[in-house]
Amino acid sequence: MSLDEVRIDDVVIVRDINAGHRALRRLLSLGINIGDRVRVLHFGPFKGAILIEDIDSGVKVALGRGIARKIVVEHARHN
Amino acid sequence: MHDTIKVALIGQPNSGKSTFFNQLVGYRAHTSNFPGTTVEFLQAEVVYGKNRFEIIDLPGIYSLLGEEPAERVTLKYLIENKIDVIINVLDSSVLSRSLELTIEVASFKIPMILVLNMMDEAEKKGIKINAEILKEKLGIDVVETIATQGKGVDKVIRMLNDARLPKNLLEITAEFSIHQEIIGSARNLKAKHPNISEEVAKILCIADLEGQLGFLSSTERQALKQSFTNTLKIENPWLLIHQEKHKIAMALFEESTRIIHKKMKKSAENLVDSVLMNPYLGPLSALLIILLMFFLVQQIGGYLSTIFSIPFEFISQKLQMWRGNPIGITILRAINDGLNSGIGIVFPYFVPFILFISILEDVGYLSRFAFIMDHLLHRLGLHGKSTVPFILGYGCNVPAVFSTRIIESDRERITTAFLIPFIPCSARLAIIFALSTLFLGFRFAFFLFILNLVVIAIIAKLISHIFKSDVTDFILEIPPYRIPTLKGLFSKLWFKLKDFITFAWPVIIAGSIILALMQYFRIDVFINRAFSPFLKNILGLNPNLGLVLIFGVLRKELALIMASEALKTPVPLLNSVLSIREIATFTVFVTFYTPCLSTILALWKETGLKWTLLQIASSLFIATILAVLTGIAFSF
Repeated sequence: MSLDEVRIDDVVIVRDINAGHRALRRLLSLGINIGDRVRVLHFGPFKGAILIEDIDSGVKVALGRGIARKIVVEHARHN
Repeated sequence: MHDTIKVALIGQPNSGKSTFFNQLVGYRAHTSNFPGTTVEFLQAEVVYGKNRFEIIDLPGIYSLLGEEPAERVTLKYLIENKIDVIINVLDSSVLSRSLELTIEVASFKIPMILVLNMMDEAEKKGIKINAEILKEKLGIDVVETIATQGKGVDKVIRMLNDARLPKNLLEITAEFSIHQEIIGSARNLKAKHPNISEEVAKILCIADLEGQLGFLSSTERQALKQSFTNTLKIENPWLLIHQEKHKIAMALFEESTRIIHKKMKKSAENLVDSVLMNPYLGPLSALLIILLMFFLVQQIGGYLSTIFSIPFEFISQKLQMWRGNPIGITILRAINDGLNSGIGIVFPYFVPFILFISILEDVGYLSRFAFIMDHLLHRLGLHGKSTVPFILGYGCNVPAVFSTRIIESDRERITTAFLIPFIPCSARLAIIFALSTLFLGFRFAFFLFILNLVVIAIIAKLISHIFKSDVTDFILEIPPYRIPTLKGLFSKLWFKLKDFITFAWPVIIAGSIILALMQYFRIDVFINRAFSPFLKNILGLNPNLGLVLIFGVLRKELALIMASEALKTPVPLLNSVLSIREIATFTVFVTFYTPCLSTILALWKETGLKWTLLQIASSLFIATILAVLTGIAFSF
């Protein structure tokens, strides 16, 4: 599943980032790493940007739909 | 006195680095550009005790190995300049990520001081940092600060003289590091830049594989790339370096930090965001905030403008009484008018305007606004980051054009700069408001604003076809809400004002003199005659307005006063010499036509001649079409 399909407040784990090298570098250096737990906080108007919080690095990042679609995630196991 | 000690501040965006810099140097800073780029940095000389320090505030960057312009120039600066001490400012509330930059910087083997800033925010988040452990692991002094309150800043100053060399933590252990091709390239690079270690040279070679840093020649890069994919079977060696760095940062973070409590309740920030970032309430509150800002600026501006103009109007009246009208007096009057338009017209509106924008920015709202606007702007070939320059454009186009420098990719930066002159600045807003209030009605002004936005959207869409590349992905960190500091606000205000004072204002005064001389030598008659066919036959306007429109380019804010002078009728009585149709046509034309000379020069500087000429031509064309249509609409 990709990040843009996640429901608000769900916590997911980043499995892969299928973006070009520029966007990939940017995401990684902003603190969105593969393996991190991420919570979706808000969707922008008209299916616009997505606001996420990286729980592991404590960073909040706004992502356009295009890049969110390229981030592969899966649900965190409940325990 | 000893030699000047060169100190560079490095930190990630939103780390409070600039606040820290303000605390260090006060208002003594001045901006400089990195050679050959539009990226700016701040610089100041200060004396503490026996030493003189040159302190440089490098732009906020997430990584030294990225490809954004600010990242590239910072890396270049580190390599090519002799820096005595680096102060690395960190946002303690996002320590693990901030340490990644620290690890990169430490590999450059320059004496360093680590500043754990925003300790108050970290504490609120329940993050407890043991500075001693960081000190031991990194081998450098670590100072806890709260820059917004000035806490800990003096401690850093005292340490500047004995900053220590950091331990190098980032060693590439992967097997490719001993590969011949990479060792060869690294040696070549080191030969060119003897300051750097071989380890750093290797990292730079790998980071430059896509060619974005410009260290390797294209043949070198191709060879290196091939050996990675073919011999070593590594698709993305940069990723390996990042992972290595990330691992070290995480280890440092985990050893030095304890999380005391996890918040269970929604924090105040999340509560505010649930309104401001809501898909329905978000745009609504954005609209309210912007409207409130414009309303307040209009109120404050109107009040200040009448007060500030008094001395200039007094001088103007005195000069007018001079007998015989000699040329010297004409020039003095022009200079007085030019000064007045800066102090009496632009300052009263522009200063409160920038102040409001700076507050919104420092509070953390502007990045949220960008989030809300992203979808709409994306469809126009722009993205969220264009919002700030656009809003600034309603104040004065010149600083707005300069502010497009925050946009990394050329495509969006040039498009945004190109569109800004279409946004009515405070000078044009004043004309629209005045003529609407007197003759055309509020509905006309409202309609004109909507029309203006639609035109901008259409042009944006058209330009997006010129560029072949895709719109860059929108990725923007959303900082926590913060209380702005006065020092921070004033330094922002000053740097935006400086663009106006040093760039736009002299052009306005010069334009004013040229204009006065043209009238003095009666050249205006010829100009009016030359342009009367265009005015009369195409726009359907009074031919006496020719000079007004042509030289409105020099001084847009004066277009209305000039119109009243040219027609020898006071502004409130203009409808006695112009029909309502003519007044509407004039308003629409003034709103859209050619940017003022200062904006043209700013645009030229930022986007080049080609785009500037295109902007002038297209705005003239659009203004003519819309003015003709307005004329037709008002004929019924």
